[in-house]
Amino acid sequence: MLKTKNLVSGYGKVPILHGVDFEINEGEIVSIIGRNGVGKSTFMKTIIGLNSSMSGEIEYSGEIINKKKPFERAWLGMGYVPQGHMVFPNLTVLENLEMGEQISKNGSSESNYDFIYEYFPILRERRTQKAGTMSGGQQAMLSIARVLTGNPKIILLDEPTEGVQPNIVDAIGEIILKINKELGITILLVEQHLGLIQSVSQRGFAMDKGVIVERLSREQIHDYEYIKKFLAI
Amino acid sequence: MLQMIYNFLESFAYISLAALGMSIIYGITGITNMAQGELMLIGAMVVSYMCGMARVPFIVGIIAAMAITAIAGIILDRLVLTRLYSRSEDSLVCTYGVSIALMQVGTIITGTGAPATKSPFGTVLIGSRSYSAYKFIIIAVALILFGVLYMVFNKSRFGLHARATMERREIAASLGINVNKMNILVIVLASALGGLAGALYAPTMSVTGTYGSNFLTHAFVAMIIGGANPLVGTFIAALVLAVVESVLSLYFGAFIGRIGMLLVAILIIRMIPGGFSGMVERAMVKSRKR
Repeated sequence: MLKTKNLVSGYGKVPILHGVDFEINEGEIVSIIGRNGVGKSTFMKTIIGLNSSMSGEIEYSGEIINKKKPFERAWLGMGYVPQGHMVFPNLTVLENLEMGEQISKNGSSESNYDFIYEYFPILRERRTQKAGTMSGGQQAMLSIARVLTGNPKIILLDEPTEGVQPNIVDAIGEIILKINKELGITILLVEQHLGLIQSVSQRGFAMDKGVIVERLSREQIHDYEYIKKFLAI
Repeated sequence: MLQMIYNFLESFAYISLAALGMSIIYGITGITNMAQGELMLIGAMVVSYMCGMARVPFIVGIIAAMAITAIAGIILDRLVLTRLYSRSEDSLVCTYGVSIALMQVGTIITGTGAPATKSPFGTVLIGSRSYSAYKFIIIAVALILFGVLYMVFNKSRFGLHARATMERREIAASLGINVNKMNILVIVLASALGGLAGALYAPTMSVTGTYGSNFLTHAFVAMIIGGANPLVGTFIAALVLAVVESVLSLYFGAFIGRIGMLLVAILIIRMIPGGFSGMVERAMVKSRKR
């Protein structure tokens, strides 16, 4: 479904990714793990188009998308949940959802969000509240819900548990599994929280210094002694 | 008292119309467009030559001014602004250069002044004083504009996308918003507003190459102390600056009025980080947390 071949990307003229080879198949939940600063978020931003690739290929559903702009990639069915949640703080919860929803062409009737409210009941209660006034956990949920309203085929989740309470981490894990199973959405997860990685990932990739250094099976992900060398534990 | 209220309303309209376009461009694209005054000059020139020289009806001149400045805005965007999105300081310098160049072109075309446009509507007598009826029309236009723009930005899909782009440009793009198209639409809107303002004031002022610079100080100050939200910020900034300028001008003359306005602006920048719209947002967050 999504594949990168020898992908090089960075900021300005400084490369951060030095030739990443990666693939994820339809319906999978795959994690990318690694310490801070190894290039995980740069990889995600390059996939969605917020960072330009310097060389290499990004292939999505059989099409090379390197030249496509972020909004065009979103229209192809790629959803992006950025690190730090990045809700629109001065828009209401409902307006945040409407921002994600435009791609799905469902119209703007609030009833279209019933399925969203089933996954995230708190958002129904808070729908008229300014998103910036919500807690970190609620913002994390809103950022996932926002991308879901666009009916994506794949969601790129960049550290959804950052700044979130432990009980919310569990809830996010359950939601990731549910949307993968019930909606058939492919999930690419960048995460540092080992518990979440182990609870949702079917396989993974370990990244270091801008390259993939290890392909991880589900068993390897669950082997604490094996996996801890890739994380800041 | 009546004179003071009239001066206040006149000043409020002047600051609002001067600042709205500039604030909208700044709020959504991050560009400080110092050439906004010259867009107003273009609007004024269109009205002067169409209505003052060719005797076209004033309302047609206004519509033409808005259309032509909107096109000028697109050209400005494609040639200059498109490289400057979210680069506020760089854009300030570049557009100031454009402003100077356009000012010179304006001077070459208008010489000592474009053909005068007769002020429509005459005067009205209130109490023992007579006031320009046309100025009341300008005040009404400023107030209506705030209402219309509020509806556009808060009740339409375009407005939602514009506000989201204003807050988090990259995230809006990742959600499917063509932010470059959004920028152009915003610049077209702001340029047309500049054209409208320039055209409206053309019958009241001499239209020369430096016409736009008359508005620049007020527009820039209102934009800065207004903060990020172009509507809320500009509205409050225009109210405050108009109170200061109209009261001081009445008692001490126009020069002191303008100095007082600038001093108050400095104090506001010092005391209210994020400007008036930042202050309103903080107050709303506080009230929500209570």
